[in-house]
Amino acid sequence: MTSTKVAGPLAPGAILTRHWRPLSLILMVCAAIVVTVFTLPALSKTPLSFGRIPADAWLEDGSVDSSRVPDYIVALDRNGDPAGYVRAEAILPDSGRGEPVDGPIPVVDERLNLVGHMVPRRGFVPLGTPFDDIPPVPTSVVEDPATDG
Amino acid sequence: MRYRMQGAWVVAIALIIMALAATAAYATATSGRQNLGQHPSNGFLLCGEAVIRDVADNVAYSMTVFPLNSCWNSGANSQSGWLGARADGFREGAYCSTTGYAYNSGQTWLFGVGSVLCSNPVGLQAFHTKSYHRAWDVTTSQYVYMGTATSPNQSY
Repeated sequence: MTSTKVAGPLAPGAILTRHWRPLSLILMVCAAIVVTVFTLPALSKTPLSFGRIPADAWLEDGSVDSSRVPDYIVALDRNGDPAGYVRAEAILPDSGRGEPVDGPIPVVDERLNLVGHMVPRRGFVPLGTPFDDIPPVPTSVVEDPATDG
Repeated sequence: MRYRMQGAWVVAIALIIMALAATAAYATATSGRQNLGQHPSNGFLLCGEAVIRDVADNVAYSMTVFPLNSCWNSGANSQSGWLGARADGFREGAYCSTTGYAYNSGQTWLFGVGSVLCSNPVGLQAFHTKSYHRAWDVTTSQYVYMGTATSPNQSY
């Protein structure tokens, strides 16, 4: 009499183990890829710099040495006190050769929270204050029509 | 006699100090006239100048001259609205504010805009002006950015 061994039904735990091994391996690889993709660029970024433009960053041709200019430049309020920071690219684009933003410029703190705006002719206007509530500084205009060219 | 000599020295030193203080307090620094190329509408040479003048007045000048070989040639008039200038103020490497662009209201060869953009607290502070210049382009009916000039630092 021969006896045939018939494989009985596997226990639920065994099935899970058999299928989960390759699946978990794939999941781990995917997770590693995702972590690498999202964290490496963040790690390679240099932290933002905040401060004043060093005197020697201004070049003779009127441009600036952008490698010496912080990412965010101190912005002064109308009393001359630091109000926050403006993005260097907004006021000195293209190493100081380009045209700056023509209008209100956001002013932020070191956590990049908006604290107000630098408004042409008005200077710093705190967040929540309508621009028109700050009186403009007096501006003089010179026109010389002396020539007949 | 000895006291008289000492007195003379004190007066001389005081005068020198006063002269130096006056120089610091009342002085102008300018970028000089910078060649920004030909005006797109009239072909004259457009020049820009950034000035910081006492006390801490940030000024930007736009001007058209002819012939084209030097910004120091004779002024050549541009039509109303064809010259734009803007002055930005800096104090000790910090940004104060800007005048925003202003444009000539009448025919002129020289147009300037200025404002005291930075406060001037007690003690010597280094100020300077960065100017920006625009010109009206009749073919595109819009303003064209022509360039910038930067004054040296001036302390007040």
